[in-house]
Amino acid sequence: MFNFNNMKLSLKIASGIGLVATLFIILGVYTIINLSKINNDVTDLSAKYVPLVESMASIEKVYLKANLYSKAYVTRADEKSYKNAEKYINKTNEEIHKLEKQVDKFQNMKSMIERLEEFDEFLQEGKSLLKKMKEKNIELDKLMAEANEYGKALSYDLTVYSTIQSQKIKKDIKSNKPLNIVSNRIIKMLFADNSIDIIKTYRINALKAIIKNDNLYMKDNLVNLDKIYSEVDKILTMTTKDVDRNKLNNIKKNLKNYQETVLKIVKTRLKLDELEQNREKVSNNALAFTELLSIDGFNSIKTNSTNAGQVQKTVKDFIFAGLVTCVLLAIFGCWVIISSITKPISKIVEKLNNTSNAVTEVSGQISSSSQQLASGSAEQASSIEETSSTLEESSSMVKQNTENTNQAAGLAKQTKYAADKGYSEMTEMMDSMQEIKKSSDEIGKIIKVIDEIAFQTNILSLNAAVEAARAGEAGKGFAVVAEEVRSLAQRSAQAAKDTAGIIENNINLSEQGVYVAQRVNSSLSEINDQAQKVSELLDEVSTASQEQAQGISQINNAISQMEQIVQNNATTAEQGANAADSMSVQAVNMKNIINELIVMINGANKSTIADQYSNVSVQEKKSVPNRIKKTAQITIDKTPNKPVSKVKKNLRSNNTKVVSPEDVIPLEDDTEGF
Amino acid sequence: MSSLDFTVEELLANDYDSVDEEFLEDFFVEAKEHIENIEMKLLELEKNSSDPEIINSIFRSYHTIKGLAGFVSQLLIQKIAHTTETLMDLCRNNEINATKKIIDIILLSTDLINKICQEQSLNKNENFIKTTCNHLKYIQNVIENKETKDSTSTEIPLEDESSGHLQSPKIGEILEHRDILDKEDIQGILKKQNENTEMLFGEIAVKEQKASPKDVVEAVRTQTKVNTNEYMRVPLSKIEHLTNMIGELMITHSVIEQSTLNSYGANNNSISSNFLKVSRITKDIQNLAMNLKMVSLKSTFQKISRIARDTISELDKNIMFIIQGENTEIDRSVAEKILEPLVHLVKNAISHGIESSAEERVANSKALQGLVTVSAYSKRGFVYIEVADDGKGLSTERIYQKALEKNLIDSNRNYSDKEIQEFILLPGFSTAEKVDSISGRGVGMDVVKTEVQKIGGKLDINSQINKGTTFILKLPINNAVMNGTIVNLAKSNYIIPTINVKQIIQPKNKQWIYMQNKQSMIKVREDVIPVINIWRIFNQKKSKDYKPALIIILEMEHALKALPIDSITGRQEIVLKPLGEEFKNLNFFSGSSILADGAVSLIFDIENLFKLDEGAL
Amino acid sequence: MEELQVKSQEGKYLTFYLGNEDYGIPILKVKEIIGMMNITYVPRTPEFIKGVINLRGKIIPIMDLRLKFGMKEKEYNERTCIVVAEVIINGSQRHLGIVVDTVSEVINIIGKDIEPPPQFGAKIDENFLTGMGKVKDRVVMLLDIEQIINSEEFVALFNNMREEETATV
Repeated sequence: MFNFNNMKLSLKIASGIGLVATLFIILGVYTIINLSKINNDVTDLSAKYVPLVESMASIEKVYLKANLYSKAYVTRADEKSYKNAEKYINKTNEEIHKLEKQVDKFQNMKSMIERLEEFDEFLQEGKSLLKKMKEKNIELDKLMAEANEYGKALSYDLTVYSTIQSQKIKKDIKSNKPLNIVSNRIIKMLFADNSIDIIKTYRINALKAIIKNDNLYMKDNLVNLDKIYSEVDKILTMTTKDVDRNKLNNIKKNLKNYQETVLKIVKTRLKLDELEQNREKVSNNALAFTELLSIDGFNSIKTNSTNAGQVQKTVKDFIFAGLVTCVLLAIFGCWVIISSITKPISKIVEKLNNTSNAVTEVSGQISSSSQQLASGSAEQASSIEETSSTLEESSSMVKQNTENTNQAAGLAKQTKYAADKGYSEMTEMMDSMQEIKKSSDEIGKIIKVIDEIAFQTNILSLNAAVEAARAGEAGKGFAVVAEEVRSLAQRSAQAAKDTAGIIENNINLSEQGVYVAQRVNSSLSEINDQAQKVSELLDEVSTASQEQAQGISQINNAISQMEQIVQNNATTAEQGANAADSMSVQAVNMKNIINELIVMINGANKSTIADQYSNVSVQEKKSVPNRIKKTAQITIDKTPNKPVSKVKKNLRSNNTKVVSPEDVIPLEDDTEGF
Repeated sequence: MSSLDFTVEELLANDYDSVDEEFLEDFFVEAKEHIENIEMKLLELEKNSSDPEIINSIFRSYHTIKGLAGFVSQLLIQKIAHTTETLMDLCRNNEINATKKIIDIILLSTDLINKICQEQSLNKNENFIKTTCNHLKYIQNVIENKETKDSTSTEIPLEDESSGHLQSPKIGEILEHRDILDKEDIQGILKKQNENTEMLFGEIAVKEQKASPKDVVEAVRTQTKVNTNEYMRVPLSKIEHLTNMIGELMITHSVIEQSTLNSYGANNNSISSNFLKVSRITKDIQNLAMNLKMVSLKSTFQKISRIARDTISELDKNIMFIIQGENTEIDRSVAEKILEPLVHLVKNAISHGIESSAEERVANSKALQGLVTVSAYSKRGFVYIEVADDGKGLSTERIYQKALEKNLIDSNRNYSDKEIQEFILLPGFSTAEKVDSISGRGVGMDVVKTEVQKIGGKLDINSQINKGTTFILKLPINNAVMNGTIVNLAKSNYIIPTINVKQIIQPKNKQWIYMQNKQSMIKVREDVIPVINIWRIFNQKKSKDYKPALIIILEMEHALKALPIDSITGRQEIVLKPLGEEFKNLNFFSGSSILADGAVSLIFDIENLFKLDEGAL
Repeated sequence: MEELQVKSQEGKYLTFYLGNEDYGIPILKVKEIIGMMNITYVPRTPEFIKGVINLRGKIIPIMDLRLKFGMKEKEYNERTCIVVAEVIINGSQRHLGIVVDTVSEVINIIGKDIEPPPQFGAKIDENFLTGMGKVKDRVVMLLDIEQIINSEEFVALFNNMREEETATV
């Protein structure tokens, strides 16, 4: 709270509002968080549980179909139903696995997986049962076909037997066979016909039983067929012929087979029934499971929605509490701010009042120092003029300096040029020397050729001498010539040798020359380098001088500018004095305005405070030095009095009840005092 | 008749010296040619006496000799020619048969003319003139004898003579054609000729100063040669000089070519193509020059035939003499040099080779008539001349005895038959028991051998008792050009006659077969070829494991040998130059040649190289 | 007798150098002098026979006189010359090239300036010398070129040739 008092007004207001706002923001953020929580719950509900329930429903649906087809297979025993049943069982399986994966994501639904696995086991069991049933059905079909085959064969055999006997009877009658024979025959025939009937009846009944799924009937009626055995045995006693006996035995055998097969069928069918019952049980279990699953799903959704609802309620309560708190806090804040604003302002006004008195005093001081400044400026202007003329002189000196430097640079350049020229001429000379050396070498080669020629000539002359000698007397003259040629050759050889020596010397000398030239060359190049350096230095000096000249002219400019400024300063100083005067007047004005401000803050009732203030200020005024008062007086004389009187009047009209206007405005007292 | 109008005195008084030397020289050369022709034809005539073309040819030759002799004042020759021509004319007209007697007469005439040509002083020799006159008289008698038998035609129509019988243009016509005579001159000369039938047309023309002797001589030459190629006589020495110079030209050419191509680069097409042209031309010139010197053996063989005939008739043996391959060409200098050795061999064959009595031959169941054959053929850059007889053959026993007697051989040594046969080539050996004019002139076969060797040839003897003897002369066709393969061996170039090069191979290690301390061999496909130990032959040392870069396989008479070499430098026509006497002992070099760079290169003598390698050294 | 012989030595000589020594051969024995040229080596010849050259179409053998005289072999340079000598070998005229360091001159030596060769102490076989010629301040050894060529080596060369002939033919 201490700090609060020191705060800026705007900051105080802002902090009050800020506090309220912060509260609202906290409230808002809390609400948003809770809302998003609710949202999450709802999303969960839709994203997780709905598909879960959906797949549970679809498992139920698919499994119902599977069950339906299974049942259909039980009754129809056809391939299509079986396949469909199998298909839907598999599909259910797939769905279960799918669900299992989905459920796996939820920590709270582990139990469900167990349940699903259990369900899967049922499913597998159902499947295997179905498979077994299929096997049995196939077996049954086979047995049925077998039984049919045996039945047919039996009927056929008996029919054939009967036919034969009837024909025999006819024959016997025609041939007038003894009657007992004929009667035997008739018995036989009758037996056959009878047996056919029995079998037929049984087969039809058996078929019916199968359709009716009456297994026991088949078994029970099988005994009817046993009669046929005894009949056959009877006839066998009457029959002598091996062929006929065999036939009869065959019939007996077939009959036995048929019976056995039928028994097998019955057994299979019983088994099937048993399997069916199992399956039924399993499927019922499974169905129950699916229902359980659905319920599970439903329950979890229910839990979730309940959760969401609870959260919502909590949020509602919280928001309400928050709002109340906020309002209370805001009211408190406002009160604090208002109080913190008004208190300091009053203090400030008091201080302002004091200060305005001081300002009046200081403005008089400023006025006098302005006068002093004006006279100083004039003095400064004259000394600046003097400086300017001196600079002009130095500028001309610098100019001459630059000129001299330039001349020196030109001379240095000439030196360099001369050195360059010397260098190139030296190089030329060296080339010439090399040339001389080269041609000397060539001359040497030529001399070698001359020497060679001289040698050849020598040989030639010797050959000529030989020829001449061979010519005998006639060749004598020729021999002389040959001798002369030889001496010539020798002389030219000698001359060549001498020349070679001279050339050798030449070559040596020119080599020496080349050496000297090389040395001169290096000296020249040194000179060249030095000249180059001098030239560069002079160039630098020259540029520096130029820069110097430029600097001086710049100083010149600056000084003339300074003159201008000094002059300006003088006038400004005067103006400053005037301004100080008018400032005193303004200070009085300011005091009035402060009074008004005090009134505004404290209200009319609290005018005592204002009086206190003004008293303080009046007492302080007495310590203002006279000199300033004087100057202030001068300026105030010039300024109009109206505003002051106005303020006086206003003050008086407003504060008539508490204080007299003279008390209130010390300024007026002052003026009246003089 | 007319020929006898000249007496011996007249003939002696004839001025032989007034004639230009040059003309005379030309005449002798030409006369010799005609005589050669006559001799050859006569020998043919002997075998076929009725061939008119042969008689005509002989007649024409005499006619030409007669005509030419008249212009060079060779009175004696003119007389002989005229008389013999008359005789031939009778033969031509079938008035006389060309019997052996007539042929002998004619041959004698040629001999006489030949002798005068060789020895001019005979013109002044009284004895010789007398002999000649006797001969002419004898001919005259023959002619007259015929005339007595048949007097229908005694005169030889001059027109016929001058018209030359074989549509040859007349002398007058030729001279007219050459703008020397005009029609009037010819008429005048013919008129004069009718007055003086003994004078020839040309003679009258010269006498009347209508034509110079030179014109007439040329006209006569043109007349006789009008149907044959034109010839020009050039001294042999000039041709030899020419061929030598061409050889040098070729060498210089290649030196220039090599140095030019070196400095301008072989890629300069214009230069190299020009060089190619020049080298072709040079080669052609060289071939031409070589051809100039090549002559057939015809003339040599004619001379031999003549000698053989004479010898046979002198010894009175029944021998048939046959010549084969007379068209074989050989360098002229070689041809000249082999005449004497050949004559010697033929005479030997006739006198010693063939048995002296017919009985001896019959005893050995041989034909009565002996047979001596001279045959020539060229083979592998050499000309072989064989002189074969079917006589008794060389008796090694007798030769051995004789050689021992004359102390020519080492009695302690055993000699093979072949070696003994070759004793007859030793100097101082002569088997003929008595010296006769035919073959026992005191010099033996060693002269023959030396002569043959001088030419660069070789003499071989092949003899079998009672079957005959054959002397084989192996002669170089010329001593100038052959194709050589240039090989480099121990930094020197050597030439191998390309004819002996069979193959060049790059030997692989596995091809070598080393013999213990002996010469190694090289296996080339199925053949195992001995490698010449050239370092032993060169008397140089080479490290044992020296491996030549190449092996050149040489072939000589079916024998193969391998020569290790470092590289092959090239193959080119080379001009053979003999090595000096100094190097005669290095007989594995047949000579040397100058290569393109002007350097001398030695030529291997493959035969001797083979022999040397087999241990002759 | 000796007088006479020396007298017959009088005449013109071609002088040449072998090392620092002056040698002379009678000018009439000289055919010509030529510069050095390519010599083709001939196998199976004595060391001093350097081989053969082609002298304008003629093949002539070349002998190095230094080697013949048992001197140190010297590399041939542009001063090295071949003196082509005309000699009679076995009765026939032959040409033979002699390699010398360099040829000097043709001088005329009169009889009184020729002294007989020293019996001992000469660097070369005295048989090859005919005399010692004094010319100005020099002494020229006069060589008998035929004697050199007909010395054993050469004789052996030819003998060998004969043997070959009899052996091969």
